[in-house]
Amino acid sequence: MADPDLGVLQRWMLSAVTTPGGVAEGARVGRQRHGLDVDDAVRGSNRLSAEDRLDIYARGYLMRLLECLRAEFPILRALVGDQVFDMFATSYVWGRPPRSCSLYDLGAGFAAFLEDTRPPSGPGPGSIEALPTSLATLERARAEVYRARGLEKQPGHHAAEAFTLMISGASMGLPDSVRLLRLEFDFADTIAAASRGDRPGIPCGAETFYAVARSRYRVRTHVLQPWQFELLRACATAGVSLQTASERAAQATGQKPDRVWADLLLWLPTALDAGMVMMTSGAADQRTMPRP
Amino acid sequence: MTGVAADASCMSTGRRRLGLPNLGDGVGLRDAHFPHLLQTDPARWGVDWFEIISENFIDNYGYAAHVLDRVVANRPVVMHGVSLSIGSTDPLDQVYLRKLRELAGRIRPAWISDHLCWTGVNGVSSHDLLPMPLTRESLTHVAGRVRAVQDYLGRPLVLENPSTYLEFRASDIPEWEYLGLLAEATGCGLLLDVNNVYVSATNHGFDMSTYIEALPADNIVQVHLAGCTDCGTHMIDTHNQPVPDRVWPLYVRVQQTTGGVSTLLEWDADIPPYVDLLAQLAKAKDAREGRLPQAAPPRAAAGETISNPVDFQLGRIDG
Repeated sequence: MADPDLGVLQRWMLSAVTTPGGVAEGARVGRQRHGLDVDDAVRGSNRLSAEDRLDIYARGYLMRLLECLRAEFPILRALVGDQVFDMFATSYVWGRPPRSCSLYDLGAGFAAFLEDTRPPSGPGPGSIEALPTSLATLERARAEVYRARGLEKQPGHHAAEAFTLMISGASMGLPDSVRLLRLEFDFADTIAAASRGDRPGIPCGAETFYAVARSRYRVRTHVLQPWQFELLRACATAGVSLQTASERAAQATGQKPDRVWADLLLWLPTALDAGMVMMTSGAADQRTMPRP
Repeated sequence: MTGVAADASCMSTGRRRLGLPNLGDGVGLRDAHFPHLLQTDPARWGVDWFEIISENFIDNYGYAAHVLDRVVANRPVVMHGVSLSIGSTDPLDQVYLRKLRELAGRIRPAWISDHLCWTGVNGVSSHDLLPMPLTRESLTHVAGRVRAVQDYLGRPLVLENPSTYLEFRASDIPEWEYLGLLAEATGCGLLLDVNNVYVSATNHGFDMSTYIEALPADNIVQVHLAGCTDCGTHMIDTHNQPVPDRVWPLYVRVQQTTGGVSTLLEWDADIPPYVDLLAQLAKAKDAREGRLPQAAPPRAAAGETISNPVDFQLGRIDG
């Protein structure tokens, strides 16, 4: 038999190593697709057969990717336990093999995979079937924020600037290091338990608003009031002033504009300190004071 | 950012090979040691240089980038990649190459390295360093890609011998000869991982000395030291324990044949405190000065082991 060319050998080996079910199934698929038997392609020895050698790579492939997913989704893992988490992660790796050369991209589709493959929910939000998807969404946001461009090297985003920003009509925006999420569960206790090293309990099913943000290189998950969430959402629109953003937040939540404006006066220093919002260089709308 | 990486004149302690200096003794930059490096005066870091995993810093603008800025301002840095996939039959990943070049433009590494391997094909990545069929056909293929990468990066590429666990029946060139031919054809540098030589020699039954002696010494610009795990029937490159006893004589021999090249200690799993890492690195100096370190054989595997581990910086998100 003539030696197979480089491309055939590579496609065969990748099939054998990455096929769901392990190396025996991978070898069968490799034979079917590429017409190569393991023993025809790989040298065996007294100590290790050709299939044993291929199995080192097949096991390494799965374990390496599971390790990465465990690192990126530690709270979900703590919540559901190692066995269930590995079942989720293995299904994901085998169902959607990585197509990016960056391991960082591996977890990008995990929440969507969990959503696509979960059992149907019961009526209403916060069903237990939706829990893994929600938590994976939150943890992926934390991973993204960890690496995103933040405000650490940009001056002028301190709590002390809050009042000036409110009266100046400055243009506001969201830093790249912020993710806004509306999820079906309140994960505050879940996150706290996991960070203590405890196994979290099942969280309450309740529509909850979050900002995942970074300040001084620390990623924090903030539970927001609905108006805070809507205000930050409004700030994501380029060139909006705090006045306009607060009006939009009031409209979206059915609150009086002056009430939101007053609450913002108290909350804005916290939001600035947490890196949730920033002043941008573009022009804002021209209103500088709240409407009566 | 003010880089010191390319300032060869003050760092070189031996012959320059491919125009690249001997940087001295370094360690891999790992997130477990970030707090120590930020809190400690760089004069007390105890190493001459650092090697980064390129992929951990591509598209990363967070804490890791902040630490890297400080490291680059104070020590030479080398970029060591795991995703170039120089041996794949897929087209070169232009996006990855662009990002690699951008990172190099920012941190000005002393050199850029990756592995003689392929990581995927048909657009799927295994995120592993998969073995090449060592044939004339693949040599021609790899050499063409090395030239293309070198042209794009504007510098010699440095390629590492990987640990391997299988050999293709099609292979008809020994790995050491293959690397030598590749270096001759392309002018690329070699990163000789002496632990990988030990692992592959154990797994395939070749002679380690033959491997070391046959490589073109003038192309070797760096040595890797690391630990591996004994799985009974084979050895796995795990980077999770001290450099084993049989690797130190190989290291000494490479330093002799090359006249002295940069040394880098890799530790990617069960990472010890920084001070313990320095103690392990100090053994390299002892070895070069004729005091062969007391070292043990590789520890046996305690469970499942991962081959060719890559440090993955996602373990420290809190709050």
